[in-house]
Amino acid sequence: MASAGVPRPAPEGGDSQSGPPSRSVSATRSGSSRLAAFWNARWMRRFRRDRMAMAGLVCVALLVLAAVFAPWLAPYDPAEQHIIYRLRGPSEMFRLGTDEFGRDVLSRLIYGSRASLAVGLLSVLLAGVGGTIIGGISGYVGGRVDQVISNVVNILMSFPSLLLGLMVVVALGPGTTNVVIAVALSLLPNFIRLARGPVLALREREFVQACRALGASQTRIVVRHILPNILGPVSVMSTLWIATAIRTEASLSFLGLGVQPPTPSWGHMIRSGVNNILSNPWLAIFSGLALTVTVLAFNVIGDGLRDALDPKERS
Amino acid sequence: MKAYITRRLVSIVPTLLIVGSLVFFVMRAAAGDPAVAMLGASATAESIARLREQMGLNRPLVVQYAEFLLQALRGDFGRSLATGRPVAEQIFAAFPDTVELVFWGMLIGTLIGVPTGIVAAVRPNSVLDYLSRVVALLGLSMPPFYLGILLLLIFALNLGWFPVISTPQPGFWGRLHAAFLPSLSLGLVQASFIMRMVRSSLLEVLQEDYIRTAHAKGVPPSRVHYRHALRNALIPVITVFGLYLGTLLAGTVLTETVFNRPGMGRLLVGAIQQRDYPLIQGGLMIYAAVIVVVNTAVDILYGFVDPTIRYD
Repeated sequence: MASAGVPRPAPEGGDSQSGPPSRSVSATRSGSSRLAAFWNARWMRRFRRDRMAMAGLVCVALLVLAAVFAPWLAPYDPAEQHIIYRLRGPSEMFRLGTDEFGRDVLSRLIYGSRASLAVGLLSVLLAGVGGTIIGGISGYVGGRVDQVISNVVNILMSFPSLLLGLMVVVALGPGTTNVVIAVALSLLPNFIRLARGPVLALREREFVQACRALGASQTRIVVRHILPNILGPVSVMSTLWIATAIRTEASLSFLGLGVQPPTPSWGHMIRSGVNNILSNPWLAIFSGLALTVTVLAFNVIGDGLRDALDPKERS
Repeated sequence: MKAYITRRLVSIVPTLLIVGSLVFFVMRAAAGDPAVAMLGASATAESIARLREQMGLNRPLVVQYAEFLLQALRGDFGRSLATGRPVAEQIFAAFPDTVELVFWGMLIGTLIGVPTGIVAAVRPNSVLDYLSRVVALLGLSMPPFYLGILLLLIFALNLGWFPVISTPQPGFWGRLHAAFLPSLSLGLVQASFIMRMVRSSLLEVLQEDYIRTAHAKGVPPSRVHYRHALRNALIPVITVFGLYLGTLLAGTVLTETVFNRPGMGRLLVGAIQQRDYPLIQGGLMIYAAVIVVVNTAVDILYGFVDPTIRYD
């Protein structure tokens, strides 16, 4: 009563210990069983048990909801000025107080989450895609190309991302799009290094050599066999670097070189909080708190994912 | 060993060359025509042409690039567009204030980070370990300028122990008093990095076979921890020391702004806001040079500390 299909080998590098129960008998796995396998994978179960990481996930979910539904959640228009209520502390009318133009801090914080999340996610996506391509080429092609790329990456890695970001902003000028590019470029060396290592190792593995022996084209080997295997580490580290990206954006905006007013951004709000610290310290406190909680949330998710995937290396 | 040190020292040259090129071309892309940047948009075509001739901008880009590198090598970064003073003079006036912050910040970071990292690793999953990990995570997530603001609110505004605007005062104690809060805000963030690194490195070493052997042959635990484990655990910490110093240096840009303190960071940000390109160029080059030199020094130090490293 053996099954008709030839048993398929487990996908390389994936979680092969996920256990047999969810594997279907037919040769192709349906979408839902794939999802179940993902959900029940050993690392996923470890990750789900990590209470800190789960709390971080909830935080990020709430933040995304706040960013998406900002117009419905914010009590005021973020640009509406209530001049007679300038720099007030928290009150019944303005839950978190007002800034130097009498704008509602809570509404501006809710809208500000859009800038932080957009810059954080977009720049990491950009750096992730670019870094994986460059790092992949570097590792796969090897030789002189690899040497040059690695050396440049090593040099750039020794520069803090804020300094690299500053340099790019100087070249492009401030503004939301340019900040995304600046933050992405400042993260790029990290992603190149991250992608290069595994590709270098994978190139020599038997299954890749087997593909080559079977006459598969280079493109096919890279896209079908190598790329799927490096997506894991890249996506895990992405979460940690979203935290860095959000912090870099806030730092640039704090210096007046990032997202430009009147678009609400947390970094800029903290700056105006510093400028008005004597009249309304709450402005700086609340906007800094929003930023800290967000970065913390992404950090604990990243830590949790790393611990779950690699239980040996806990930090 | 000698060859290794020589090679590391020689490698500074190409690194600085790459960084210098990056700065030069980024600035050219940013400023466009330095003559236009200097005279402003309202200048006539004639005066721009005259200045271009004076500044040597009509020569091939390669020649200008070579000249920039040669001048940079001599520490000549031209004159500031805003003040007309030599860039190098302004940078060296601001430099000591920043170095002061970096020094105290690193000292505070090490003095807090290393011991807490050890305690956390020696007693993993204890209350102390848990507490220090949570605090470190908070320190990592809190942007240094926010920590600075909180310290400012508590110790300067509420308690009045420290000045709100921390301009360095004459005398050692005056300087220290003014530098305390900014250094503390940098140092606490630094401590979080160091603590996490020491902890994970020491945890890994404590699982090695030679540690079990040491325990088995009856070496007292404290001696195992400090003589056998810690020495090996600190090696990876030293390697990232250069990286920490880089982030600390970048952190001063923000901290100086929060505390209204003079220094390299304030100078650079002011230059960026005023589009003072020679000053930006010089500032970035100095930052780059400091980071490259520190990293090389750390690499050489690493060679001394880790006997397993190959020198060839």
